[in-house]
Amino acid sequence: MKKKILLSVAILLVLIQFLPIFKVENQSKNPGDLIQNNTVPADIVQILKTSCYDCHSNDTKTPWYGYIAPVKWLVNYDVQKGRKHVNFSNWNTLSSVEKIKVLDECADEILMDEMPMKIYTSMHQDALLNESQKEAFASWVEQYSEELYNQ
Amino acid sequence: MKKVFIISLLVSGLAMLSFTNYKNKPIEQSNQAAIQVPANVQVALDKSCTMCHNDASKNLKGKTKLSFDKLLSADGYPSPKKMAKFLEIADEVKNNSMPPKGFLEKNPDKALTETEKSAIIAWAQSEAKKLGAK
Ligand code: HEC
Repeated sequence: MKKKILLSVAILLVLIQFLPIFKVENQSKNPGDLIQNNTVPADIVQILKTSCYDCHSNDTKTPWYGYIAPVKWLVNYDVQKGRKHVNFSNWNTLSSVEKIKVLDECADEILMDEMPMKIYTSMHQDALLNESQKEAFASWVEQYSEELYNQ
Repeated sequence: MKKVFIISLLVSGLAMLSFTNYKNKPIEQSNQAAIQVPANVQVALDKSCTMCHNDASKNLKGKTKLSFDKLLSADGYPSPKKMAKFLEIADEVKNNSMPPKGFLEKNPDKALTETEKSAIIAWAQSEAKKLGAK
């Protein structure tokens, strides 16, 4: 009896790997990318890459467990939602005004510890931002917004 | 000789005049002025928003994300941030995301009427436009 249950769970686990749901595609070429098209300071590039880009770009770095359902579904669901909200790979499709608005929201989210998401930082401790990183991000946002504003 | 004296007197007089003129001119606003709020909008904001969104608020998240004090005063947020906040205000009110649902459940009297919503949205959009948004 116990053996049968274990076996069915195992089979089920194998089968769900093939369910075509919550798919996420990466894109290697992103001509409209924020970092590629703008002179972003190195410390900010570092923050964006390690704390934001996994969910807010087309260049998601997935850890091994992120390829295994059902964890895969959770991860991909969040990536889909993240990209839909803000996608730094498509940065240049936004107008200057839209960029300023998104930057303002980013700074606020980071300042209030809402981003990066807790479920993400629990698995990616290096994505946690310290106070000086948060401040650096906020002042970069202010400066970049001023630049965009005066264009 | 006399002519030179009179001319120099005239010149210095003119110089003094233009100097006083210059002094009397209002000090030029650095880059932004305080923003005026129409009375009907002010009433709506005071009823439904400012208790969480001003510098004195106890709601840390609310006042950090949006302070009407800093939004409206000349030396508050820089212009790009003001523009962003006005756009966000219009969005939040349009989507019925603000005031927060939980707050309205406890304080149903703080809900905005449709007229108040349109007034806030129109005002926020026009202020955003003045600041450069299309
Ligand atoms: C009960 C307190 C409370 C009231 C009342 C309230 N807010 Fe908020 N507001 C908040 C909080 C908290 C946040 C942050 C929410 C979040 O990020 O999830 C917020 C966020 C916002 C934001 C987003 C700012 C950003 O940077 O993203 C805007 C805009 C806003 N509120 C406008 C308003 C307006 C306009 C009203 C009145 C119609 C209002 N709020 C009423 C608490 C309040």
